[in-house]
Parts: sequence; structure tokens; C-alpha cells
Amino acid sequence: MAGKRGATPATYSPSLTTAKGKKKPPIFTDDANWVRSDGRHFHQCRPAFLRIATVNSASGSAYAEFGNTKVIVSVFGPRESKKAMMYSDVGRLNCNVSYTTFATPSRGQGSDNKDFSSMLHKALEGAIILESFPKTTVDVFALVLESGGSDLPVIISCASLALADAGIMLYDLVAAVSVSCLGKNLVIDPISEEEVYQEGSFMISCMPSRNEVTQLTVTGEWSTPKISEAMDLCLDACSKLGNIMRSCLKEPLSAPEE
Amino acid sequence: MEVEKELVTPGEVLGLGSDFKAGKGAYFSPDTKTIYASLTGFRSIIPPPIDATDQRPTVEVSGHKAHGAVPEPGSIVIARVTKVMARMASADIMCVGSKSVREKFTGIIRQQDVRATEIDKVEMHASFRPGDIVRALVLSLGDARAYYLSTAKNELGVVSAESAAGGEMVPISWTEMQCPLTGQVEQRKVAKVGA
Amino acid sequence: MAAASGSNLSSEMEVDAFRRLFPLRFHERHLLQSIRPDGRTLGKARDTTIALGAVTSANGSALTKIGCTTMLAAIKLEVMTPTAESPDEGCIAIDFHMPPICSPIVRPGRPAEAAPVLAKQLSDTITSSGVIDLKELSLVGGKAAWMAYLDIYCLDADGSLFDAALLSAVAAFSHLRIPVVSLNDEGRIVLVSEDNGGGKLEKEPVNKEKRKLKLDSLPFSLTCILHKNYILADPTAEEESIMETLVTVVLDSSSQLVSLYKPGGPVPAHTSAIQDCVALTRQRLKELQKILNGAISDMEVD
Repeated sequence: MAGKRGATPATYSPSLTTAKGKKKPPIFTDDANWVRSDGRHFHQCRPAFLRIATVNSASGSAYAEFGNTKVIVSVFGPRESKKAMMYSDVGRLNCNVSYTTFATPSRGQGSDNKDFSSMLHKALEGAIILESFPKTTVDVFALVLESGGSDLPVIISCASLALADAGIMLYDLVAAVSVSCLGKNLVIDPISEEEVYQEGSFMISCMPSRNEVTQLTVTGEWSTPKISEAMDLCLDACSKLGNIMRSCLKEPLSAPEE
Repeated sequence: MEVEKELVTPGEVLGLGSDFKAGKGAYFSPDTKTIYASLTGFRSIIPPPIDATDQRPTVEVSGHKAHGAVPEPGSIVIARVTKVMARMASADIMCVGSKSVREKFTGIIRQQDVRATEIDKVEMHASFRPGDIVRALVLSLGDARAYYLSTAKNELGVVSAESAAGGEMVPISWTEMQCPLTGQVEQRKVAKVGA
Repeated sequence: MAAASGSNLSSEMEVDAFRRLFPLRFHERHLLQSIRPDGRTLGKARDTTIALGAVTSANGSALTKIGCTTMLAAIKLEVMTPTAESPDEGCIAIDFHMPPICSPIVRPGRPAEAAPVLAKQLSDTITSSGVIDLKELSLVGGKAAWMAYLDIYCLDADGSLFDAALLSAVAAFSHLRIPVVSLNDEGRIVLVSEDNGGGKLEKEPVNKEKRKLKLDSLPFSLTCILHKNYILADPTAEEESIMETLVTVVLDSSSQLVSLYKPGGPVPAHTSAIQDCVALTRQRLKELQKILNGAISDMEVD
């Protein structure tokens, strides 16, 4: 019978006939003239679609869509901390990131990103005025509906919007952007296919108005000039993203005059 | 609306520390000597009181969506008694001031905080019953488990209680309530109505 | 002293505080006037929307909203070897998830009790309604068939979860597009890429005609609360938490009864009340069919 657990046979996702023995995707080639598969320039981010107050059951929430990367974040609290917790004069932040089973090309792959919960926590914590909710906890839960690349930076930016929507006091918003190193080129806001072939990855989370970095991760092989180039690219993109986030927050308050 | 107010979001600059004081929804950064918004809302300026020594006006963020109500020391809360023990009663805080809380916070009323007089003679079981609705004052953030609550004032104590027979009881003195169905009198630490 | 202390209390506090402290009294006051706190009449369901194709990583998907209750259903097709007993049938695996984003009562690592119950109900309803002929999922008799993984995620839990979940599942099946595949020399099913579908194909596709499932009689449902003599259609989470007797009726497109759930609750249901619920579901069925057909034709226009 359908739907019965345990009885489900082993399954596989059919792959493309062309995937085997054919030439590598153009991403591999060092040709400076290749175009990104979505037609963007190397230093161009995907258009960001942001919306707040999408989950009514939560104290605050936000939805972010960057290309095929789609994320929802709900914020609950400040609410009672778990009973097992020690007394704390400042508030606590608790973060969790999960993926839908269909978020990735092959089923259930998203659960590989176990470190995202703690990365999210570390990226946000410095921006929250924890003294404003002593003893209580603010929960930030993210669900990746579809993974389309640059998932973590999208989650971080979306979570910061959800915190602002929940009325949690913040030093600043947090905007996050990543860059992939592909051969000689740096591409910003990479999609999944680009991340697969990247030689190195660079991500910054920052408070755009305060000009402070809350998180910086560098993986892979990087030369010093490349790092500073990536840093400039990310900081510039973060400040632009920050402006988009601010207009998203202001939208419901700037009273419609119709 | 008199003037078009400026909309701000967390992190936006509200003014310099030398010109303003930070009000609600705003914070002062000693590093940059600047005042920033911490919430989304309208930037508004409140002139200082005429007799104040500090003549800087206050800049704050108003009309924002603040987070849900959270108990603070000094706030008056409405709570539902969940458990009565020999030395304390525990209660779920449902409202802070006139605002309901989204979820619940746990509070406890210790024996010495039930009433102002003869504190050593307080009988917890003759003061509260599970299910009672009490009005209480938040004494402190308490411990990891609960907020500490007090009913040691005339206007604090049980404000609504059901009798064993299921009737809505009527206060007859500051220590007794009566069931309108059976006439049965039960003991409570009753809050003085309209005090 | 005529006034009871409770009513004195109610006069001094804000409406939402009274609602929080005395929820049953608050709702019964409304019921007396045949209106609900959100302004609906008792038999009226909330505004409902369906958006097809919400996620591109799945073969079929739909986002549905009933009031604030939001569900995202997605179907991913994978290939399996059919069982010996039914060599020419595929399979459907249905799961229902309540991630922590959807409700303050769900915490990570502490799943909602309701989720497995709903998963079972949804699975039973969809398989028993005969909406999908499993033979349609066959690719190569005895060798390969589709396994359709249907995962439904609750994104915002505000009552009547089953109705919204079933609607999203039905909508996702309506949106499902089966990829063209062929059998390669190693006996594996591989995708035939759309753009070189012309001349240089080595293998003939095995499912050229079967791009869409034939959906026979779609099931639709309505959940009602029974409270005293009142019947409240499409309850919110708050209503469900206060008045606990629920009845869920599932009808198919031709108004035939597929299933009926009344999972206990303090109010025993008279047959007349059940009949009233069925009548309300019959009305609701028409609304839902119209909304789904609208969503399907919107998609075909695009």
C-alpha cells in the first residue's frame, strides 16, 4: 500500500542522459567570457524579494526569495526560557535551521547543513540588544523551502528582518552576502551549481549602518588580494541589501494614501 | 498628522549624543557618540522638561510594533493559580498590565508575599486555590524557574474564583468569598474591588 | 454587591486580556449572536487561495492558504523497482510535517503530536479515495515505476490543518508534470533533456504520453467544531483549543462521502449534526473546486 513506512523500496532520482561523458559545464573553464547560467554579471546579485509578517502564528516573521533560494523565518518570544536553563540577566537567543525534504535536487540532502543553526546564532547574536529582554528567550526558526544557492546568507538576512518584525531591539539589521571563487573569477551571490564547482567560498554578515562585521567565513584557497577583493564586493552588496531590507520594513508603516 | 514623520529602522542614525538623549526604541553608542534606532517606527523628538538640568531633547522611536508583553519588576499582572503548596503558590502569568501575553510566564507567590500583615501566620491553602485568577505585583525577575509575585496590598489578591460547585464566587470580606449557588463560604486572599 | 467579581474584572481590562483569561465565555458571548470573533458567520469558511508551482525543485507543488493556515505541498518523483505482487504499479509516500516555524507550540526536536496523526489521515484519505490510479505511475512493467514522494509542510498553523493539507496535496497532484524518461543500457531510468528531444536520441522515451496524471475524483474536506448546539465551520487554532469536538468530512468531486473523522471530544454527535456537517462540506466542495480550477487555468495561461 502507498504511504506505508518501512515498506518503501529504495528509490533513485533519474539523472540527465547528458550528464555522463559530456563536456564539463562552462563554469569550469577559465574563460573570462563565460556567462553565468542565469545571465548575471559576476558581481551582480540576484534580485531580492523580501516580505515581513508572513506567519501569523509567530511574533515576527519574514520570507526571502533570491532566485530559487526560498526561506521563511519565524521569531517567537521573548518567551519563558526552558526550565532547565540557568537564570540569566540578559536574554537568550536560540536558533534552528531546517530544510524541507524537497528543497534540494535529491531528497533530504538539506539535513547535511547541521552547522547552519549555530552559524545563524553567531551571525545574529551581536546585533541583538539582549539586555532588553532579561531572563527570557527569543527563538529564531528558519525553514528552507527551496535551496538555490547562498542559502546561509539568505537565511541570516531573512532572520534579521523577522527579528525586526517581532519588535526585538537591535543595534542594526544584519545583511549577509557570499562570494564564490571560480578559477580566476569571483562571483557574488552564487547559485547552487556555482557553489558545487567553487574552489573557495567567502561570506560576510554585517551591520550595514554600523559598519561592523558580525561574521566572516573563508573556506578554500584564497590569495590575499582575492580576499580583499571579496571583502569589498561583499560589503558593498551588504549595504545595498541593507537598504532593500529597510524599505521592506518601512513599507507597511508608510500609510497607503488610497 | 501635523508634520511628515521620518520612518526609521534598527541601525538608522537618529542624531548625535551631544544634541539628544536616547529615548525608547533608541540607543546611544559610546564608540561613535551617536544615537541609533533599535526598532522600526517614527523618529520623534520630545523637548526636555523646563526645569531639567540636562537641556537636551529626547529622540525616540514611536508608533512601532513592540514585542509582546513581558513581566518586569513593578508591573501588575493577572495570573491563574496552577498549584498551591505549603510555602508558596505557583501561577501562570496571562496578562501584564492590561495586555495579554502571547504564551505564558510562570510566577510564584511565596508565603511571605501573600499579605502585608501577620506574614508568619499565612495559610497558603486558605489564600488561593488552583484555577483562581489573581492580580499581583511583580517583585523581581525571581530565579531561573519563575518570577516572584506579591499580593501584599489591598487591591491585590484573588479577583475571580469558582466555587467547588462551579459558581462564580462573590467576595464578602477581604478573606472570604461566597458561592452564589450553595451559599458555601470559602477562604481566599481577596483583592479589594475598586480600590 | 450585585455584580460578580468576574464581571468587575472584565470591565476593567482590555478585550484581548478577557479573551485570554476567559476564552470559553468570550467565544460563547459571540456564539449567542451567531457571529465569530473574526466576523464570520458560524457556517462560513475563511478566504482560501491556491498557488501552483511554488517550488521549482519538485515535480509538482502548491501553496494553499485557508485564512492564516498555510500549507506547502510538493511531489518529487523518484524511480523504484515495483514489487512482485504489483509489477505494474507505482507508489505514493505521503508525509506531513509541522516545522517549528509554524506554531509557538512546536519546538525543534520536540515534534507536534498532531503531525503523525494528520500524516496517517491524509495518507488514508488520498489512497482510499482512488484519486490516483497507481498503474499510471508504472514506467516499465516489472522493472521500473514512479515513487511519488508527497511532502506537506505546515508553514502557519491556525486551525483546520487537515483541510488545508488535503487541499494542498490535491493541488500539487494537479500541478504535477511527469518528466520524459528513457531506459538506458544499464537498466536505469534517465531523464531525457527537453532541448535535445529532437534527432539524436539513442533511446525512445518510455513515457511519451504520460506527462500528467489522470485525476479521477478529487477529495475535498471541511472540518467543523461541535459545541453545544452550534456547528462552526473551518475553525481557527484558538477555536479548536477551546471547543474540542471536531468533525472532518471528506467528499469527492461527485459529493460522495470518502471519509469522516470524529476523533472523540467531549460532545457526542447526533446524526443530525453529522448530516449538517456533510451539508456544509457539500457547499464548501463547490467553493474549493472553483478555486482549484481557477488556479489551474491561471497556470495554463502563463
